[in-house]
Amino acid sequence: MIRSSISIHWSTLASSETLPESRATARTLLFRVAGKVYGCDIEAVREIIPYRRATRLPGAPPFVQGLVNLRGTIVTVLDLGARLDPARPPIRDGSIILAAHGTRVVGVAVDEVMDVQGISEEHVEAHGGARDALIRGLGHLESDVVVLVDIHTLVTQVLL
Amino acid sequence: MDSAQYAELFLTESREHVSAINHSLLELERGVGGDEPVGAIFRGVHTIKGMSATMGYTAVASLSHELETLLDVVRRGGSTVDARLMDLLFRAADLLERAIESAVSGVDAVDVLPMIHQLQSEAGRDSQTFLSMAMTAELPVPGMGMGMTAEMPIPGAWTAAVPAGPGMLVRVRIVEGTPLKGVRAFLAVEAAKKLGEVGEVSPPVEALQADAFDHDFALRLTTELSRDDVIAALRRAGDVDEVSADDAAVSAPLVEAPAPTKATNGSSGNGGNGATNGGAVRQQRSVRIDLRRLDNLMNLIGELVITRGRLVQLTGPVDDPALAETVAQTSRPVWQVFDRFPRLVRDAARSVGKPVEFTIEGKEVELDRSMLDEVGDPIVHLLRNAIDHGIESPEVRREQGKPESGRLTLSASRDRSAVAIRVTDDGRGIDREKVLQRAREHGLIDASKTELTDEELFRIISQAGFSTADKVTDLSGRGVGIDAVHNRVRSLGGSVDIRTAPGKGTTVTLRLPLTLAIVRSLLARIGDETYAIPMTHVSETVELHPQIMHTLKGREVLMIREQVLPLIRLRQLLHYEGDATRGLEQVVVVEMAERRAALVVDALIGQQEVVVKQFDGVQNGLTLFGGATILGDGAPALIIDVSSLL
Repeated sequence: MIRSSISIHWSTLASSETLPESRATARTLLFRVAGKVYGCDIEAVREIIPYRRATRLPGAPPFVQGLVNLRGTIVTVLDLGARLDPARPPIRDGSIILAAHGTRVVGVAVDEVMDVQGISEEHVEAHGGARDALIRGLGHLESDVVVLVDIHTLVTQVLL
Repeated sequence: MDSAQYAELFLTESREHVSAINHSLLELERGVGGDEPVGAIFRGVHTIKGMSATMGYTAVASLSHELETLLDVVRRGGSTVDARLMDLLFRAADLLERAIESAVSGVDAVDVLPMIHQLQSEAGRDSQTFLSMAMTAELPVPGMGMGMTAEMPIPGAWTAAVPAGPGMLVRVRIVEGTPLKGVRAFLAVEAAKKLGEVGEVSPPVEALQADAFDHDFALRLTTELSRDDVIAALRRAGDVDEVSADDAAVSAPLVEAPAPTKATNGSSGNGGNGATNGGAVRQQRSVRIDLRRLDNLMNLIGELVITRGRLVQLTGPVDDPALAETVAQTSRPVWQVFDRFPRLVRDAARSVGKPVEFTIEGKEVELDRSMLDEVGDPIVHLLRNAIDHGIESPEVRREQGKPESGRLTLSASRDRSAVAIRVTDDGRGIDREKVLQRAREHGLIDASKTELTDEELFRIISQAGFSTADKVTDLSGRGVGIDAVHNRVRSLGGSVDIRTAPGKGTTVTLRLPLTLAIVRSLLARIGDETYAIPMTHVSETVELHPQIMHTLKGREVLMIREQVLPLIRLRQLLHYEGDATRGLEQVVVVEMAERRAALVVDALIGQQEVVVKQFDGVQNGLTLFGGATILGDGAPALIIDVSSLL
């Protein structure tokens, strides 16, 4: 079981491009949402900030928390927990992962950011027939299985 | 001369001249203004020639030279102004513009030779002179009827005409880029007066003082002094770049040179022309100010700056790049964009064979520069629409008892903190029946509907891909219509309004905020959030007393001073649950064009300048917001787009 208290190693994040990883290994940011561990490709991640209250965006789907101010830029924040299971209460603590999609930046609220790990391709179980296009597949770590989510799909599903 | 340093300046000035040339070409074609249009075109071309020669842009210089020669022939009555000649002149002007752009950017070299040959054959000359000139880039070449002397100092040609009369011909060039060059020139003339008797000055002294000259001027000086003494004395006048003088004995009075003399006269003091001439509008304006007043003003500004510094210190550092950016922005008069439209309208109207009388009003109204750049395309769209669909063919118009020429007006005006840009035609109006029919076909409205209000009409035609055009023409009808205009204007924080009457015409109004980034807003609380309502649209606020509320046809309305306003409860509209908790709710009366509504909010917080920021829209989200802003506490607040509520 992955220790849920591991915080992210900023040095590895910063130098992710220069590490001599093999091509088939995707560096994956691991985070926890409602007790489950998820992962996303670190290439899409721009920055991680502490959770902050978002200004409600009336009329938006329930899993859109609203708008936050990121150093003068307005960023839309999505609630990954509510997105994966509408019955979940909204995330009100934890972190916001800022992911870049093209020129746009979107925030993804999660309960906790945990670690960065390389997951080689042979350890990824493609999830072709997944009900949710958001789920790319399952990543097998030494002692655990994480659900891999596709940030780009999340963004294109939500933003105009 | 370091070209790079002046290239930008050259480009800006040349563009203005090209724009003025086009303006005058249109006048010439319409046959208004007598000789003035040709003179104005001549002056514009002449100036471009002088500037481009100085810059070493040989292609531009050669082309403008040939164009100038032809214009000279035209002005002397050597060539009749007919459609063929107009066509040639228009094409030459277009090519000149392209040549200027390419000369400065250094890309897309334009081949001016074919046009030069055409201009030459039109002017009835052979091509020898051009070739020799293009090689040396010395301009202008003597003996071509332009009243220039053979004296050609390099760099830069003398552009002032030779003054008539006896005495030594003295030419003086003021250092380029000198502020107050008119004053410098005046001082040089004064200096010359000390040396002897000054005869005619070209351009006249009044023109010099008004800065209406090309850095150099000429005068006749009767003096005992030698040529070298005169040159030395004038050089000391200050900011004089170059002086040339010839011996009085050598320079017998030359033939009178009507062309450039007239040119300088025309552009200097003729106020009557200045008002109507597009070229005159953009002359730099200067005023004389008493030095004491200026000092006083400087002192006041100094105090303001200090006070500002204190405030900044008190309130903490202002660290908002958008704010800094906005402060640096300046407003620009709309003619900078509008001036290219007369030509565009002419071409468009010709291509569909409909005579159109085009008027522009409110050229001086100013708009934020970045917005001005964005608003050009939507206006082009509206103008083309009006010509293509609005204005009927001459035959139809005659049958309906209208003048054969369609009237098309583009106007800009300011009201409160918005600028309204209107495109009005006196054409057939939007065909409601056809719109209704198309809308039913597309399932955009209830099939049982038989009538459309202006609002419904607008809502339908502003939907993507909607067009009533029966056929696609070169101009419009591709289904990219009002919706494109609407989107662009909305993205600028503005709104669009259409009024149309069958047989009478259509008016499309674009309302744009004065600046893109800062909007004075009323902050209001709804639930636990703050919303901003642009003050542009706020006419008043009142408390929501039960006695002013009424119900009309099942809808809540507000009665204020005999006026009935529909009540919009933002709490419900924005999906807030429950009722406002404390005290009386507040009403913000908003208006746009003639439409008004009463917005109910929980409480009012106050007025504030807010910086508008865009955010990514969310699918299925409400389209009620014109952006967001960041409040003092760092939290984003949504800005309500009033136009979408009305």
